Amino acid sequence: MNEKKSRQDNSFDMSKIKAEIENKLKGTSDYGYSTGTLEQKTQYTLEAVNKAKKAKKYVLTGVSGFDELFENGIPKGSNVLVAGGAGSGKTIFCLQTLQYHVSRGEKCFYMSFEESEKRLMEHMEDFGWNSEKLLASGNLKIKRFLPSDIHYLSEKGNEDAMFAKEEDSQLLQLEPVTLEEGFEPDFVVVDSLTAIASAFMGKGGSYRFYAERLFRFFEKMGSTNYFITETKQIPETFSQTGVEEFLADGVIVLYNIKRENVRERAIEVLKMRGTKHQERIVAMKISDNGMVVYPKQEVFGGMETK
Amino acid sequence: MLKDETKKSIEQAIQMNKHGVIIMIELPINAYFEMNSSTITLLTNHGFQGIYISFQRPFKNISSFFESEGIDTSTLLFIDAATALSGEKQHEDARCIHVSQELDIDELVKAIYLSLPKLKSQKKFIFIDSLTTISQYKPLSEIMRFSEFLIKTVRKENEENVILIFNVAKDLAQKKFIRDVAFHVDQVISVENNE
Amino acid sequence: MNDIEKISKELNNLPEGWIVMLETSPEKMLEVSLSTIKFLSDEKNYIGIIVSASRPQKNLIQLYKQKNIDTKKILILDCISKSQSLNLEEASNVLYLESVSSLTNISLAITASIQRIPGDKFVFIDSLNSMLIHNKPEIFVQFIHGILTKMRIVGVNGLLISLENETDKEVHAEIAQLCDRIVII
Repeated sequence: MNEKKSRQDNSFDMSKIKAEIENKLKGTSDYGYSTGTLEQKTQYTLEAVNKAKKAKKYVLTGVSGFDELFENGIPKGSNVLVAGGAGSGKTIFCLQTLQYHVSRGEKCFYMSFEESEKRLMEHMEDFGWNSEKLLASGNLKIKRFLPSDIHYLSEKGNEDAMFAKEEDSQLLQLEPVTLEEGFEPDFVVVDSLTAIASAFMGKGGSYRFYAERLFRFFEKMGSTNYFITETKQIPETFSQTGVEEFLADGVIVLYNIKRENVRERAIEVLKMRGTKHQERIVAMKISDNGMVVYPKQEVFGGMETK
Repeated sequence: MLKDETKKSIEQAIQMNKHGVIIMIELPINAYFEMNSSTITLLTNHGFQGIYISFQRPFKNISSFFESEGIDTSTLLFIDAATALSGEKQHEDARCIHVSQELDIDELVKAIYLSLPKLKSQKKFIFIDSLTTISQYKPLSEIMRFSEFLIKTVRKENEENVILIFNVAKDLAQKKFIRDVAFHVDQVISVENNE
Repeated sequence: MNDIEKISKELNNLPEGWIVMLETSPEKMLEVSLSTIKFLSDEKNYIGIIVSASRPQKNLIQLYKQKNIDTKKILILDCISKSQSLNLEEASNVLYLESVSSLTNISLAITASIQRIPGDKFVFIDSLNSMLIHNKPEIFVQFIHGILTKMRIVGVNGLLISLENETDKEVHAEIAQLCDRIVII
């Protein structure tokens, strides 16, 4: 071993260092990525921004550390399931993504089948995102739907539609949801497929048909879409019926793992067509500024299903 | 450092079979890595070039230690599975083969298969350190599949003289899957404490 | 040769970026820990990152002061206080972590500390036995493996302290084989 004493200057400030470490752990540090309000620029490494710009056909989420899980980003126009148990951070993930895109002048639409617009705005304020300003920009629309508002076909109609072969059948052309005229969103969040499925209680076949129509509707629209779906905390399936994860281009899973008497959060990209991505579960935290993903930090245990 | 008897055992095992030999070396945990290094020194001194598959330590750590022990690391290729597993960036070096963080066994197998012909010497070795470490991350069925591939590679009649070494800590050598692998090896060399 | 002389001799014979397992008896464990930390911080001038799964920071700081260890050169990752609902006093060199079983968070904290603290440093995990009480062995081994690999990549020194003959033989072997040396005090 090197016998000379280290010549380092030990007059450094440990309390400052400690504070910086704490901030990094909370996801509020300057270096790397930071979440922010409309006023704050989201800082990305030059490499990531240029890569995304050059790619053009990929989109980033703006969630700190999450985009590093991809080689390029999420392919534009993808339908992505955002799956996870209660309290795993699905809504926060989607709100944060929309906040990022609205701050870049892109149009976003949050379709809530569960929480009210007011409640969602409060969520945003909790993380320091000025929801009123975002709405006032005209680029963000939040609208609450009741599951019963869904334009679904009658039971008989569904059966006919499923087997109908004529492409110009009126039944097949019926839109599954109504969007505001003149507002063509670049990004859409549907919160949630679970709530929608509840409107089809006892009519499993109709729900599957509706889900398929919904996915195709958004595909035609050309937006990049996030569909929230509630699962078990350590899920083995990632959607209500299984058909949604088959139809979706991508599946992002959020975990809230129990470890003795505490919980640790994690996230993974289970599937994403059209791009290479990390295939491992990595650590995630929800800080005061939003979600922070640690792409290099593996998660230890707690993932066993009973 | 290895005792003369241990060195002799390894040398005899090396010379045992023209078409390759499979050895399991059981090491005491005291100075485990130093003894690994001694084994590599012995092999390289006999003109062997090899692939060192490390599940335990990152490439930088192994290569700098080997170099300090006088081993010519240009005769070695390293598969840095340890860094891959940790999620950190793997070292950029001509001797270090990168594998994905998911550490797919098929990818590992492919990496070894493609690396063997790159070794210039006719005398080659594959050093696995260690199956018990990778068993913490992968199902046993995958570990057995991996071992099977390695054993089949070495046993091919028309292949060059490839030596396969499974390195195992003595205290872990009684694990059932290790005993299953040991059943297929040509020789188990047990290194004593205080060598 | 006394214990301190033995520790210094062993640690002086290793190249930088060493990882050492210290094994000792329950009666000696505290003294061995304190002596080792004192040696590394005073003699070697290293900054210490102490992962404490055995004692809360308040107790540790008292002990360090009694031993004349410069606590300005120590960062304590306290895994005990929060989970025990102890008073979390604001301290300039203490990070409170959720619990001994929050291995992912502990790993994040160690990584962040290693990245941020300048100069020569060491990570001291106190103790393996305490951590194994709260964690499944196979998961704990993965954690140790992961953290030692990260430390080795950046050349940070490490010490793991455990009770001699008190750890499950296989778990002990899985961890010990990852170390450069095992020192029995």
